[in-house]
Amino acid sequence: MRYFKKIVKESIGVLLMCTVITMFSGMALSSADEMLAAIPFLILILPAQNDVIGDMCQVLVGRMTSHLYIGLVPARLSFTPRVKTDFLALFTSLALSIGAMLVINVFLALASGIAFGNFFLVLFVVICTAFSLFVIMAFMLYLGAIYIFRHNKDPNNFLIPITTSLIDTLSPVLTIVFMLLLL
Amino acid sequence: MRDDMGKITKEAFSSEVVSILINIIVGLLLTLLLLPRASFSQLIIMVPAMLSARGNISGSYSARVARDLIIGSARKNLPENVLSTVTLMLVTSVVIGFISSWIAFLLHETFLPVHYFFLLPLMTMGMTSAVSIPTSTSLNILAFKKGLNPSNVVPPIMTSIDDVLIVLNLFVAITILGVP
Repeated sequence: MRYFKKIVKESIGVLLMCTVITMFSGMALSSADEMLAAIPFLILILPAQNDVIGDMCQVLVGRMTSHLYIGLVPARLSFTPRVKTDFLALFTSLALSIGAMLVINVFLALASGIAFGNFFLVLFVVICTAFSLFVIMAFMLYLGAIYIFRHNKDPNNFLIPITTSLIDTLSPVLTIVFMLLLL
Repeated sequence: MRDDMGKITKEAFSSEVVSILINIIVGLLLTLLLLPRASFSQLIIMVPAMLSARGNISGSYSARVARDLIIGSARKNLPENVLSTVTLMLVTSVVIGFISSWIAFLLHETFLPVHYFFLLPLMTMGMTSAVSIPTSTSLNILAFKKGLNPSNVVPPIMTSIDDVLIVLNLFVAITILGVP
């Protein structure tokens, strides 16, 4: 049973930490139940929105880690052309993905009769949430990757699970906050 | 190797489209199956945690199977790998049940019976594991036999399959338990 014990021992801490972090997302959604019932389109887009932002942040961590290991990016705060290209490319991918997500969801909502609420408000909130969260997370992840790498550890192992949980939590929370501010 | 902005954008966006389509199905299932329920405000507390936990457990399981296949110890390690995955799933389900019952108690005046908060994650994640573990194992073996690296192919597929299964199985568990 050595393999069993090793897996459980190594996984349980991060898994429970990530579970607790994502419970805040559930709490935020539960608090905004009346708003969600009034604008079901928000529930329709939230899983895809979390996924798009999370995936772009994960790609950023993966690329940053590889570049740190092969020396393309120095292990200190410095906005080299490589760092700028990575950020701009993923920011563009994020914009295209959010656009595609909105177009598909609008068609789906029209086909299934799901209510939009104020469509332009939702559109504005989705754009604000996605871009602000990506910019903040990208900067934090860049700093985090350098810090972890300088301590001779692999940034992928620490940052990827935490990034997923943080995005799953912060994306719905920010969406609700922006909706409350603008309503 | 050329690695400019256009190439990165093209590759990242192309793989993202499939992911978006699957997550839209998750959103559609949530909107059509859960939103109309009277207990939606309490059910939604546990959904993000179940989606996240299942993804983390399944992703790690898949990565371990892939590594064991590559280093040739899959036959020896598989039973303990499955057992540990089921154990992690059970522990996480109980934790989700415990925390979500407290959140529901603090946020809502009308409160679902406590046993629902424990049975729903247990049943949902249990039913999802019953499908996910054999599927993930088979896909890993299939990818390995086809000469592909299972680590690159299986986790993105399984994460998406699990997300859809979690919402569908939550609906099945709600129906079986008769949650309003």
